Amino acid sequence: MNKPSILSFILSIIAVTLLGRTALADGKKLLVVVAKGSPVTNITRSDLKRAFTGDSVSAGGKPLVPFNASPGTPERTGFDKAVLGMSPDEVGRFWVDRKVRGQSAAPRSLPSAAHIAKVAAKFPDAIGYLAEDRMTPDIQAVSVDGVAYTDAKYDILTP
Amino acid sequence: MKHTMLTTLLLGALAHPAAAQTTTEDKTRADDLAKAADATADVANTPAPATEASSAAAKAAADVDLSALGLDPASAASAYDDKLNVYGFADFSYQAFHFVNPLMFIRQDTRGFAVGNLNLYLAKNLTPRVRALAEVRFTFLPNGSTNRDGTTVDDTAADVANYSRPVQWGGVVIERVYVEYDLTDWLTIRAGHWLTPYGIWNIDHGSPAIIPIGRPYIIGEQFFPEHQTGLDLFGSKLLEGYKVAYHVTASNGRGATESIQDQDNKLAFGARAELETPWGLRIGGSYYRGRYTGVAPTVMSAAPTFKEQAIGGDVQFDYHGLHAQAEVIGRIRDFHGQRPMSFGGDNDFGSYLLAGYRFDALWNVMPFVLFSPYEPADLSTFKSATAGEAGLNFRPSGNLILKVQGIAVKFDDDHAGLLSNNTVYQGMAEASFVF
Repeated sequence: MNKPSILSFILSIIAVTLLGRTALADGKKLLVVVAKGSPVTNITRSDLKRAFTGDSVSAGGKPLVPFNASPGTPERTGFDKAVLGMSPDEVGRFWVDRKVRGQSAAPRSLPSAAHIAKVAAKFPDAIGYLAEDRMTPDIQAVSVDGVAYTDAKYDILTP
Repeated sequence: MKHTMLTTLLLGALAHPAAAQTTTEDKTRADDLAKAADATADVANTPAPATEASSAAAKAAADVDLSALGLDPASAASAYDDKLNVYGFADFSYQAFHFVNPLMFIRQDTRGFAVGNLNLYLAKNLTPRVRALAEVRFTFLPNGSTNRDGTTVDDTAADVANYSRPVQWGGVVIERVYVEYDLTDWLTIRAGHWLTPYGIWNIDHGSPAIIPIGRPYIIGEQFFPEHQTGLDLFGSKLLEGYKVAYHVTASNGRGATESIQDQDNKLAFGARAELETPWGLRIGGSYYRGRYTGVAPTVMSAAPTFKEQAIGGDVQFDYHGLHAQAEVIGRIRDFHGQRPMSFGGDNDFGSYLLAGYRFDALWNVMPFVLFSPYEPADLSTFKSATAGEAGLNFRPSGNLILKVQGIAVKFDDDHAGLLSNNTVYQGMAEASFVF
């Protein structure tokens, strides 16, 4: 392989890498949502993780009740990876081990984003997550660590 | 050169179909990012964009029937899950033991299948802040267990439902039954019969959550009691990513009737403190102090009794697939001058170190090793023992765990205990599952 060929090969690799990264950034934003008018407007990532890994987290004096998307959905996979830092296999092992220890069970999974939207709207202490295009007028997005979903730094995404 | 570049770009486009789209979308995305970057920080209450998509989403949400999921906003003040959850786990194993030197009261070679655990859990949230949990273990015991004189328990009985043909009955062990109340975010009160909050192994508790098959000496010998009956006050607080947790316990202590009454009317106390870091390190320390009181063997005789203290430290580290845990425990017993003849002192001491790495391949296999030295106060069996173990833990799914391991235990060679000057090799395989 002569010098121009090597150069072209390296440039090609760089181009593919950049294109690949652009494609990876195509994940939908996952909005953490609560009822419209809720005093919860911001939550720390660590509290969000605690709430969705079985610890009791209160807001306004009442414990938050987390609701998950169904296992295997892009929303669930993206949230578990971005917030809990776990792959689907790791999440499965995590909750099974907690059950055996007698610790709290996994948050209830709801069958669709429409269910999550309605539960978040109707129950003042519920907290869930859904894709941006599934937002409804009677729920509000919560910023995470002070970063709103409209911010370019927001990184809770579907795969 | 053109050919190489074109081929590579084509491959890249095939690998990432989205990347093969026109640059118009990239421009739109860049515009969106620029708009997002300009957004102000205080957008917590940002309303949903009034788009056709959100209208469709609102209609879809309106059509949802929550009552079908047991979530009826009209009849429930809160969305907490108040269903009774019934689940459990079971394990089944094959074990083979071989003592290098023949023994007087123990068979030199034993092997066979065994059902170890069939545990059933009942869990329910009574209110958003009150929970109850019961765990019972169904077992074939006492059938097949060994008496102190070396004989084996045979509980064969006549089955009245089968023309008095022989049946072997089993038993039930109440592992825990308690109710707990979250007084605040950092204080929960638990009352009932619970697992002693010490170390790592006793909290993991069940075979699906425990990596090896057998327990190290310091866990199996219960330097800390495995269960207690009484109160456990506990909680945790998150401080800038660090989680600080504690337990304070008061119970009947250890004894022959500990779950029902305190034979000596003296409470036992314990405590635990734990620190969990954001980078996967967890360290803890535990303490227990109480009095053991048995029951008198005859009406006029005195019940065996002694004071005991246990102190332990533990550390656990998880980083990606790497898992390491270790516990060190010491126990001191005070017999008030009535120390049994077989005891060489008042102190038991031991530790273990377990390390493994979970791969994403081969049923999520985790090769592991365990090292466990132990020095008992009671020298009737041996003066010291050192166990080395190696094995594989497979988790084809979260609910199914398969294990295989080999163990070698070397006992002391400078003492006259039952197992002194001996070595035992064990081969074990276990399947456990959660239902």
